Amino acid sequence: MLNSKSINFIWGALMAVTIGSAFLAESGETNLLVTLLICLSIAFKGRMVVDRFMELRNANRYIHFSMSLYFYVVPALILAVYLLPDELARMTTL
Amino acid sequence: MSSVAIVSQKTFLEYPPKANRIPGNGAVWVGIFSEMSEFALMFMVYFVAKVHYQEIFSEGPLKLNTLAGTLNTLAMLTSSYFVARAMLSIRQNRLQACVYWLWGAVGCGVVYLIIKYWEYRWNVAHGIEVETNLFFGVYYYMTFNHFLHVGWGSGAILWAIYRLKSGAYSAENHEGLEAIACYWHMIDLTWIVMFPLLYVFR
Repeated sequence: MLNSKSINFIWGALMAVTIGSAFLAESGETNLLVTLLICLSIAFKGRMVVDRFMELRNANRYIHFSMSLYFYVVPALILAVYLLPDELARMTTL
Repeated sequence: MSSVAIVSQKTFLEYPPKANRIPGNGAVWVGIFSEMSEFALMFMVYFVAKVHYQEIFSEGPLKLNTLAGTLNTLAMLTSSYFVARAMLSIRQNRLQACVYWLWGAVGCGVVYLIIKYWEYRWNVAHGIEVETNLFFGVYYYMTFNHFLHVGWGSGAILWAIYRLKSGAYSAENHEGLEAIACYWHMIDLTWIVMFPLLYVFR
């Protein structure tokens, strides 16, 4: 059940993850760890908003499933683009 | 004071969100899934373009204003938080508190729009325009689309405030408000993906 304490805590966590992402952006680093952190931040923030702010955790299961899936598929694609760019380029060349 | 607290608690307990329900209404979810699909298409275009033009897409994020992107992310997440607090307030039948939280969300929407406008001006001053290269073309297409969504989403929240003040919503009946809340969270969700794609991921 939604309550103000848990909402406040989630908001704080989302702020912290965003500021962490900003430091990653400013560092200019490009490696597997940074890419994994980006994927995790998208999955975490997306799921928090879907489950808690949008309150889909106990809502219609098809809506909950579809919205949650989005935040697993996008990070998976980011990882795929980082690990297999040339293979994906070949697959998407007409 | 204590009687108010008891009434509020009772109302909250009487009208909690039902399990397995469709939040808001079915129509808004058709809209939300359409919008999520539209943004998914844009993300697919980004991914395909990135693997074909790896160098351009690696250098692009370094040239953008990270501070503007970060502040916009904080504004969007905070607006979502305010909307969630507004929903909590309406269930407790605290209508005035609900109005205040919604004004907070509109304020964050306006802050977002101002920062984005400033960022576009900053970009132009630094030679970053739509035709500069493919990365910036994708960046402008995605962010301007999102900019429009924040604009009309803020308008929808203003409409909810008007309806709330007109007595249209209560702890028992606030379907329209919840539909607008879900739509606003959707706008936040798309930015959650766009920020790392455009400003962080290289």
